[in-house]
Formats: sequence, structure tokens, C-alpha cells
Amino acid sequence: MTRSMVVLLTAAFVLLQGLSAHADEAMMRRNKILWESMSSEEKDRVIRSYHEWKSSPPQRKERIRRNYDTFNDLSPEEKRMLRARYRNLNSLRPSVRERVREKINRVESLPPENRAEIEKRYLKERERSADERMRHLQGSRFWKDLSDEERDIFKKLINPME
Amino acid sequence: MDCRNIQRLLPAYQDKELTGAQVREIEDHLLTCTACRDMKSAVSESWSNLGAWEDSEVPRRARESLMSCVSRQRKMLWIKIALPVAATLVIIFGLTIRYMGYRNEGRIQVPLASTDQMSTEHADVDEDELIADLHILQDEEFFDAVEELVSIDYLPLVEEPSQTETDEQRSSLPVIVT
Repeated sequence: MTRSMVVLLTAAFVLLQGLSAHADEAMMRRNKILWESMSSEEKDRVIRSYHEWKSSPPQRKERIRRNYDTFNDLSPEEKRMLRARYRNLNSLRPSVRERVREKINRVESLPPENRAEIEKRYLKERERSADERMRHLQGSRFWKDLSDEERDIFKKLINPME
Repeated sequence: MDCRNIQRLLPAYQDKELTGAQVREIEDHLLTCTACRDMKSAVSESWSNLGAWEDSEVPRRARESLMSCVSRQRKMLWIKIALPVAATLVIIFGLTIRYMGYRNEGRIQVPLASTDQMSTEHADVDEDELIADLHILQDEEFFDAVEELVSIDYLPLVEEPSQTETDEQRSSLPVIVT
């Protein structure tokens, strides 16, 4: 019985290796097709990104790879929402964007345990209806401390699809 | 016949399975040998006790326990057979996928650009590396910002006390239950 379990675990390991190689290979194939379909301008842009990427510190590369995986795990609706949020953020004037980033940094500078706790609360928050969430947002200290202009900006960032 | 042979034949004697000569010999021996007579009495007594036994129903719980034990044994037998078979199949499948991956990896050699001009301009570009990370490179700035974009959802919660804190504040007065 123990011998069989060892064999099965080995088999599972081999299978995982195989699947991982298969996934890498599928990604390479997709990337190859994508690359071939790009225009010269796009290729030039990607090559510039490549040079930047090469010179990036390993931590940044690791973070971007992690972000890529996080994004890939999202539902299509969540993906669309993040894309829209990104567009809205980039459409802001640089000075305003900087102010928004300062506020976002409050979350990013939280200790891991506090962030985990907030993530848990957010999951509960998501179960509420859109109206309830809006009421909750408008009743929050964060919202009350914002100027009217900032409220407009954050409304578009928090609910970019509306 | 000696005592050992007589005692060996006693069960057959009891069942009346011996020849006349054997019966006579045993009976003659029993007249003179106390040990064999005692053995004959013991055999007779055992025989009569066996006759007194009755067939009785096996208790339900005992039967169920026995049947579940048998069923468990059967399942274990299946596992013992199925596990190595499954493991072998999984290994073959995994190795096949792995082998196909290697074969295709070797096959993917993408020209970096369609024109010679591009190749000379970007001679320092590692083609394989670029293709491998293309999914990130084509939208690197966006993926760099994903964490920040997700954090926007948490902003309204950062300055709000958690539910537990609120509960603690509410329960700051002692409650006396009567």
C-alpha cells in the first residue's frame, strides 16, 4: 500500500511537470503567434519594453509576474473593470494622478496582517448590492475627507463601469 | 494393536465404520485397557454433545460486521490493483506531455522581425527571452499597476474600524445577565 502511494505521488509529480511544460509551451506558441501578428511599430514598442524589463531589478520583475497571475485569475468582468480603472487613472492630470497615488499608497504601506484583514472585509463588502456599497462608501471616513473633485475622481475609479 | 492405534480408530469405531475383525479387536482391548476405555468414553460423550447442538441464527450485528469486513477487504483489493495501474497511466501521460513540450520547445524558433533591418537594429535582443515574456512585455505598465488598481477597492475600508473593533466599542459597558 505504501509502495503504491509512493508510485502514485511520483506519478502525480511527473504529471504536474508535464502539465507545467505543456502550459509553458502553449504560452510560447500563443506569444509566437502574437508576435508575428504585430506591426513594426508595436514590435519596436515591445522591444523597448524588453530593454526596460531586462534592466529592471528582480523584485520588480517578480512583482509584475505576480500581478500578471493575479490578473489572470480574475473573472472577465473584474478584468474589464481593472482595465477601465487603469484607463481612468491614466486619463487624470499628472498632478491629480500623483495625489490619487498618495492615497493608494496608504493601502500599499499597510502591514501584511492589516491588509489581509481589509481584504477579508472587502470580500464581505462585495456581497452587498451596488446601491448598498455606494451608501457604505458615502458613509465612510475616507469619502467624507475627500473634496468634491476628489469624490468625482474616486467615484470613476471605484466604479469605472458605471 | 497397541493403544495408539486403538485410540486412532476410536472415532471410526464410534461411527461404526470398521470391519468386524477390527471391532472385535478393539472391544477385546477395551476389556483390559483402562486408558483406552476412558478415551472411548470421552469420544462417545463428545459425539453425544455434538448431537445436542442446534443450528441457530447468526446475530444481525455480527453478520453485518462480518459482511462490512469482507466488503472492506474487497475494496482494498481493488485499490491494490487500481492504484499501480492508475499510477502507471499517469506517469505515461505525464511523460508524453513532457516529451511533447520538449519537442515543441525545440521547434519554436521565431524570427525576431520580418526584415533584416530589424534584426541588425536589435541584435542585442534575446529572441527566446522576448517571446517567453511577450504576454507581459506588451502590457508591462498595466501589469505593473495591477496591485495599485486592486488597492483602490480597499481605500474606503482603510480608515474604517473593523467589525470586531466596533463590537468591542459597543461592549465597553458590562452587561449583567439575570
